Amino acid sequence: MEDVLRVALVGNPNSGKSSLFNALTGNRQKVGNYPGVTVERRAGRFEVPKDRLVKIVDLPGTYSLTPHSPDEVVTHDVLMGTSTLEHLPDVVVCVIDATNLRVHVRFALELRSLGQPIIIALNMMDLASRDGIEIDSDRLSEELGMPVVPTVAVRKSGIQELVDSFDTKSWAALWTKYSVPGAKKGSTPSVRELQKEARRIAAAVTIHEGVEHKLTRILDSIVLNPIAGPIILLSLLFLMFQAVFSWAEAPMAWIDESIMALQRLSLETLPEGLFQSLIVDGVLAGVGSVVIFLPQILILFAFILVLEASGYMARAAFLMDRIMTMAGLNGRAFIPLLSSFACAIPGIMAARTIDHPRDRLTTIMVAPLMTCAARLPVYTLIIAAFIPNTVVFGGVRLQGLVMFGLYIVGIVSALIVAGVLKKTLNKGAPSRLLMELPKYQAPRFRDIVLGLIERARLFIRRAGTIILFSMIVLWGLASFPAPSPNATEPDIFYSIAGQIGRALEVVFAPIGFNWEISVALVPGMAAREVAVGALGTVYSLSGSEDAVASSLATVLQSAWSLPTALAFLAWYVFAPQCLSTLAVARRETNSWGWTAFMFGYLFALAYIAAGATYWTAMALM
Amino acid sequence: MPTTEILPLDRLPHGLPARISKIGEGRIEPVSTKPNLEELLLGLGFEEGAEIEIRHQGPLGGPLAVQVDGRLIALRPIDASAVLVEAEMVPQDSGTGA
Repeated sequence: MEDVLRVALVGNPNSGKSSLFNALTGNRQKVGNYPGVTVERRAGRFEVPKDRLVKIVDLPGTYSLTPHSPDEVVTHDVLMGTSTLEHLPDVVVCVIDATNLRVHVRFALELRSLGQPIIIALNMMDLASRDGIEIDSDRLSEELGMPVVPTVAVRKSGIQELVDSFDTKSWAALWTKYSVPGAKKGSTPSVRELQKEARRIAAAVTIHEGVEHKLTRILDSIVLNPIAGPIILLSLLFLMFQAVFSWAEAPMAWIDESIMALQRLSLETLPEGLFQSLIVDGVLAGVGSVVIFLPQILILFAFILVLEASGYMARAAFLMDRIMTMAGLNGRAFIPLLSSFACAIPGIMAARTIDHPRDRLTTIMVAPLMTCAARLPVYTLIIAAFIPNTVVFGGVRLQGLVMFGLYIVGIVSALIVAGVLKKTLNKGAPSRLLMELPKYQAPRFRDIVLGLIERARLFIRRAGTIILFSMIVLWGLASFPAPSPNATEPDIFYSIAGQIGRALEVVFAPIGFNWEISVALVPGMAAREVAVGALGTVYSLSGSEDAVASSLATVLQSAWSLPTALAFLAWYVFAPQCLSTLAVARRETNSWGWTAFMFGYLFALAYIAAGATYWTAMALM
Repeated sequence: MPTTEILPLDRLPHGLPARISKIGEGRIEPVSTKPNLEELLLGLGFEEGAEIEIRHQGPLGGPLAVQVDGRLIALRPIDASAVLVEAEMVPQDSGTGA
C-alpha cells in the first residue's frame, strides 16, 4: 500500500506559484506574470522515498480567503474542505513573495486560521536580494508558527528542501505550539487585525528593507506614459504581426518542400489507385497545408509568452482599460482577448479572472472575433495568392499590412459588438479594475521554450487527430461516388462533397463563393484551418496530378476572382467559430441561449461582411 | 506654509507622497456593492497608515497606477475615491501673479 500525501499550493497571484509547481512536478506549462494566469486545475504527482506518493494541486491564485471570482471560489472551497472537486489537502504550501512580505504574510496568517498544517515557501529570494532585501527566515518561521523554506522556483533552488519538508510529522510540535488558541475552521479574524499582525511580523523579520526596483520604475515612466505607452503597445503588436510573416517565411518553405517531396515519393512507390489517392490527396495535401503554419503560430506564441513573463501584459491591460471601458469591457479583458489571438479557447477560459459576471459574458462573446492562429492559414494562403508583396513605405510590405488590417478589423468589430451588447442584451453596473502591476523580470529562456514546445505539441496533435480525421472524411466525400466514364466536369463535381457544396452554393453564391468554397466551409466548422486543407483536397482532386505538385496558392490564383478572394478573407474575419470554441462557450456561460447567440451573430456578420466586400470589389473592378 | 490635508486618492496630485488615513465608501455606483471594495483594497495592501503615491495614469483619464506597500497597483479613479489620504499640500496662492 502506498501512502498518499495530498499537497495544495496556494498564494497570491504573482507569487511565483506556477513556477514552483513546474519545478516540483516537472510539468510543462505556461509561466506568467499576469494575475490570474492560473485558471485551470493543475495537478501533478511524484514519488518520494519511503514509498510515499505526493499528489500536488496548484490552486488558483487569490489575495484573500474571501472569494470574489470563480477562481477564488475554487481555492476557498478546497481549503475549507467544502469542495466537491478536490480532497482536503494534508499539507498546504503557501507560496509567498519575499519582495512583498507584508501583504503575503497577511495571507499566510489568514490561512493559519483554517487550522491546517501549512508550510511557507519563501519564494523569489533572488529578486529579494537583487532589491537589497534581507529576511530572517528562521525568525519568520518562529513568528508564523510554520516551517519556512526559502526557494527560487525559476531556478529550482530550494525545491528539494521543500519536498523534504512535506514530512509532516517533524513539524507537528511547531504547529501545535503556534496554533491560534480558539481558532476554528471557518472563523477568520478581521482583515484589519491580520494586517496589523502582518505589519509587525514583516518588520520583525526584515533585516534590511531594500530599495524599490529601479529598473521597473524607469521602464514604467516610459511604458506607462499616456502618450509613449500606447505608441509602444501598438508598435509591439505591429512588430509581432510583421514578424509572424517575415520570420516564418524560410521554415514554411522547408515544410512545403518536404510535403511535396513526400507526395512525389508516394506517387512513385505506391500502386496507383484509391490508396495512393487517399495518401497523396487526402492525408498529405490536407494535413500538410495545415502543418505548414506551425512556424507562424510559434512566433505569435513566442511574443505572447515573452510579454506575459516579462510583466508587460498587465501594463497593456492598464493602458487599454479606458478604451475597453468605453466599449463596455474591462482592462482585464485585454489578456483573455489577446490570448484569443492564439486561440479563442484559452481566451474564453481566461475570462474567468474577470470577477464581474457581465464583463465576463461580454468578453466571452467577443473573444472569437480576435483573429485566432487557426485563421492564419486561411489569411496567409489568400494573401500570398492575391496580394502583391510590394513595399509600401519604409520597408513595410503590403502583405503584412493587409494582415495587420484584418486583425484590426477583428479588434474594432469586437469593440463595437461589446459596446452594443452593453447597451442592449447585457446591461448592468460597470465593474472595477484592481490589479497588481508586477515588477519587470527578464523572461527565462527555458520557460519560453517549454511553453512553445507545449503549443507545438498541441498543434501537431490537433493536426494528427481532428484535422487528419476531417481530411480523410472529406477525401471520402470528395471521391465517392466515382463519375461516369463520359463525365465532362472534374470528378469531385459528382461526389457527395460536390453535391453538398452545390446545395450550399445557393446560400453562398450571392456573396461570391463558388461551390468549391462552400464545400470547404463545412469541415471548416471542425477547425478553421481545416478549410485550407479542404481547399487543398478539393482542388488537387479536381485537377491533374500536376496540380497537386504546384502549390495551392497558384491554383487559387487562376480559380478565384479577386472579389471572391477578398470576400473569403472578410468571411473569415467573422467566421462562425469552430465547434470546440462553441463547446467551451457553452460550458463557460452555462447557457445554450448565449451559445446560440454567439453562433448566430457571427454567422450574420460573416455573411454581411463577405457580401459587402464582394459587391464593393465587383463595383470597383 | 504647507498644510496637512485629507483628500480622496483620485484628487491627490501625481508624484506627491501621502499616507492612507481611511478606507471609506467613495463615490461608487449604488449597484456594485459586491464584491466589497474595502476588502479588495485591504487585500492589495491599502491599509491605514501605509505610504502611497500616484505614479501614472492611463491614457484618456484611465486607471491610476499607485505605489503602495512596495507594490504598484492599478485602479480606476472612481474606486480610488474610496481611499482617503493625508498629504502635505502647498496652498495655491491664487492672488499673486507670477
